[in-house]
Amino acid sequence: MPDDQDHDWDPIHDEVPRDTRRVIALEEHLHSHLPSDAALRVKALESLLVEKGLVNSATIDRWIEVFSEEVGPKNGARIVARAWTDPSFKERLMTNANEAIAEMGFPKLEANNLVVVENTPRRHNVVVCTLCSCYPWAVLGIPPTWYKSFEYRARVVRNPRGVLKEFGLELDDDVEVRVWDSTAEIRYLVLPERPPRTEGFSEEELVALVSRDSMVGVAKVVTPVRRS
Amino acid sequence: MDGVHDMGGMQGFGSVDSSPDQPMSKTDWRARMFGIELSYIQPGGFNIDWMRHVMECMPPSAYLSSEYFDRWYWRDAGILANANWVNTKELKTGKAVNRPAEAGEPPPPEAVAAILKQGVDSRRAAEGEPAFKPGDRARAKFHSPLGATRLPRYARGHVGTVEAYHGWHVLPDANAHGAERAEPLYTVGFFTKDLWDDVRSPRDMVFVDMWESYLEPV
Repeated sequence: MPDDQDHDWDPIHDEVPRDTRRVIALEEHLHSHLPSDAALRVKALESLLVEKGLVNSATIDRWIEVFSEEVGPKNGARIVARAWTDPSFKERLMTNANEAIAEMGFPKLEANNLVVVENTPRRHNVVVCTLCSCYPWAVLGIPPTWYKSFEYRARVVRNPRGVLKEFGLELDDDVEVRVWDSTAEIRYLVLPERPPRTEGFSEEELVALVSRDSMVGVAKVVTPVRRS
Repeated sequence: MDGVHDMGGMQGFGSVDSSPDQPMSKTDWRARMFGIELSYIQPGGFNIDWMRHVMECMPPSAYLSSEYFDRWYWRDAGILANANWVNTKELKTGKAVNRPAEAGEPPPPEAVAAILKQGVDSRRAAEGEPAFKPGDRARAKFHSPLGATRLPRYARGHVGTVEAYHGWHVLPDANAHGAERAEPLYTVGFFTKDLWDDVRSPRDMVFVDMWESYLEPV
């Protein structure tokens, strides 16, 4: 292995070429030589990687199980309900979210650096990733299709009020809108406002009210019409 | 790079379709692709910044016309082919011609729990004092490198206010290209009306996470 080059960065072992022009040309080549049917290509990729010993199909199955059955917005809802009912937890959550939720037993994948932003009657927060699709998987699961859509990514930074209206959320002119573009590994979770007339609700009942969309910032949490 | 992926503020897109998604199924190619990406051995090791950048290098027309998880396919096929771990014929047929000698064993299903629990943290030990503190005014650099960056076009050249300091984090611009080094990371707030001239709400803001080398003092 050649090791004769001087680098001005840490000499980590990395002989893979990581050149932009090379990859642009390569991607162009792949696109003009591979079939258009995505299902066929993905099937061939899995078979190929299994045969090469680069992937284990049972591991693929396991990841699908984890994100379809085990990790989802219920985690975030538990954080929100606890913040609504426990002022000292909320204070810790707003200062250092990862430390505050450490004992709740959530995973950390795609939420190692969690920041919670709080909605108030005068301030509304909404989260996006304009460059790709960054999202706090560990506490919200994998993102919905609309979050990853070009329409949302392009428009919500520039015209958040117009986009929120499409979700059925109209904000008064005197409410300040704050859009958080997840350009680094910081992951944002919106702490929605606690809805009125929920004083007597238990923490579990509150958890059930908190929607995924309210924690991304495209919806409010609403008081249920009638309690049984 | 000034790619099509850098979408913030682009005009011409219609309304957001917020219809609920189908649940993931193990037989659906989208779910398979999701699982493949989290499970396969990457040449040179897992590198989220390189992964993002390879997707940015897709032909723009393909980026815009491919479904979300199909873009993951093009990214992972590109990562593997770039290292000569697969070739076009193999990708077409699904039949292996040879196996990369240095790859090692792929993670078994039992490894998922630990990866999920730990995640991958970009935070590194501080190597000095941050140049900016919350409340400081700072200008996003006006630059257009052909390479990985996480500085969105819409912020370039604009002045904002440092909202938060997050410690030192791995810099994507270097790490994507094989050189891991860390810098102070900040969240910087911009008035939306300073970024686009058709914004009417005077107090609305956009917050962007930015590494120190993206910023200049004002």
